[in-house]
Amino acid sequence: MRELVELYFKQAGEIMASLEKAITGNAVGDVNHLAHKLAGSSLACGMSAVVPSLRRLEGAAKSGHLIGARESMADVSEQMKVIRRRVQDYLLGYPPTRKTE
Amino acid sequence: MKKILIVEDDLIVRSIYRRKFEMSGYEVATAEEGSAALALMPEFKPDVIQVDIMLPGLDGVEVIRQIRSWPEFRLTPILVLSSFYRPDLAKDAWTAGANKCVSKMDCTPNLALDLVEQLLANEASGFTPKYGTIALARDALDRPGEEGAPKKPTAPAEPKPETAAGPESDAAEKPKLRLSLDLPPSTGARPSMPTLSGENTRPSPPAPDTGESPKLRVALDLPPSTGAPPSMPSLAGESTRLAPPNEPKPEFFGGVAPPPFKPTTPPAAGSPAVPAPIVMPSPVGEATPPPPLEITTAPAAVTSGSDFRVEVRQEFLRRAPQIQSELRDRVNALIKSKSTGDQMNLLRELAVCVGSLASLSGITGFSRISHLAGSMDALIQDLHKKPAQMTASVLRTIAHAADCLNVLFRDLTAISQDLPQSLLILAVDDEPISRRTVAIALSKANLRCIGLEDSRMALTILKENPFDLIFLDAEMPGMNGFELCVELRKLPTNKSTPVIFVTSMTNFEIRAQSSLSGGNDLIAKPFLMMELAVKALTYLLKPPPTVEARVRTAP
Repeated sequence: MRELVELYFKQAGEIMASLEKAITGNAVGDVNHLAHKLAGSSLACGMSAVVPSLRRLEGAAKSGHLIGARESMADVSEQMKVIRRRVQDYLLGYPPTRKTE
Repeated sequence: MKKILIVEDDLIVRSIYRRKFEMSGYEVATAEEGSAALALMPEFKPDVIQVDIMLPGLDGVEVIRQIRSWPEFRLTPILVLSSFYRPDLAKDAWTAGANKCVSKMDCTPNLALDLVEQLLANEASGFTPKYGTIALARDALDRPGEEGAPKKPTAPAEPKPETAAGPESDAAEKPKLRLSLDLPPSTGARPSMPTLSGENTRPSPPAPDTGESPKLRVALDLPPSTGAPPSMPSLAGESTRLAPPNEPKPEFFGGVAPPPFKPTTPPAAGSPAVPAPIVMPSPVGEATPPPPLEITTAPAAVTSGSDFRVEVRQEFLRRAPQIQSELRDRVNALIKSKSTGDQMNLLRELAVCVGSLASLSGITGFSRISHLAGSMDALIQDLHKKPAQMTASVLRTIAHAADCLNVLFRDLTAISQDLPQSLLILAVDDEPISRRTVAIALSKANLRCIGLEDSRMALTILKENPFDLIFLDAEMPGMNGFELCVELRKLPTNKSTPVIFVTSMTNFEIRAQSSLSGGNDLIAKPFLMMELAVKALTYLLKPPPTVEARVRTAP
């Protein structure tokens, strides 16, 4: 599990950095692909809290207009911080400290 | 006369073991649940105990723990029957003080007798193992000398020291998958796509020898000593990665396999393989009346070993239609149920049904049925822990597995019951975590896969290598999963290989695309690990279509 989690956070960090760039550059195709990719890996790892925001990003990219993409990206970043904190707590054996949703 | 206590909740399985031990000169007492076994202990004073790990009421682990708390029985040998698909239970049993753990799906009455005699021989030789360590457990499972027919008492090996290393550290005894890259004599040209070929796999069609293509060779090194294949065959091996220069990397997953819960002894050649059972917990809160204690001291009429085997198989064949009907009814009821509460109750009933089926088919040598039922049982246990995961995808997986069981039932004597060997499974997904998740899920069934991130590279490999099962991500850059599936259906090597799409999108459009592209099935993310394992086993254990069926379905 630890291996998967480490892989997830490493990859999520890379994808999020690329997503920021893609949104800034209005690269609709890249946003679609990257958001889909991160949503897929998040689901695979059970980190589903971040998926709705990513789906919004993906939907916006599919429509060809990145309307609301910055807000969705901010949500993704916020959710990711919470997930990271909760997973760290879990791995350290602490009970969950706060709810995300 | 040695005394054995058999703790087993399935009446038929219990009877079969009782008869086997009686025929072999043991005084046998049986109990169908844990508290009854504990009540019987002080009076019966068994020399050896055989415990099914999953019992109604007090479970097998707790029974072992309590037995070990009595000074009188601190060293009494305990053989545990557990599920191949629940290595966690075996670990708990060992920690509680079991001496040996064996998969019910692969345990025959003969094997149980051999193991019991071996345990008694160890005890007689003065071997006093230290209970309660995983190291002992692994030692007991994997020590090569403990497999096979009854052995003379020998000086036992010292229990291995406990280490932080997990089951992976046993890799030295597992088959090894080697990858090597043969580069052409330096031509300066960019190497073209690698080819997979290898030992213990179906032979690949000869590829045109251009003299330039690098070849990826896959070789399966079997352990030299056992002479028998692993129970659930696989491309086992280390997580070896190899990336040709400038080429996408194929990954070989397998390093995270659960403890190798192999059958401790391979079935003797020429004799029907006879696995053993799974035991299910009773429905929560159900009041279980005290079970009658069964103690027999007079051996039944002595029957020869082969007669006994034939007899237990006939008993299974006789009961098969009833089991089949019960299974069908329970699955139908589960699919039609609406509320979560109903589903959980029906799942419990289904668990009892498949658990009992896994036990009975295992002990009677119907290995395919036993393993499929056992994996379904493990999936249902996971669903009990995570009811929120009860999705349409899971229900479909359960229904499909039940359907496959029906196919296996249909002609029990004609279908080979041997588990397939040297399976080649491919997972194509551009997303590493999803690939890894598929690999971990497959490892739950002791299956290994080759992971590829690039669909075009996958197509090149698929052209020359027939696979047994393929998992595809639907959305990938370049060539998506549906396009890849269309292409691979044109290949003679993989035109009928089962293809399962793994996707987070399961709407109608995706399902339609999956079917239209030639896919066989679809599994929705997020999935339970055991769900994917059951899905894989459903396709791998299903018998190939008969000639008659092929003619019927031909265009």
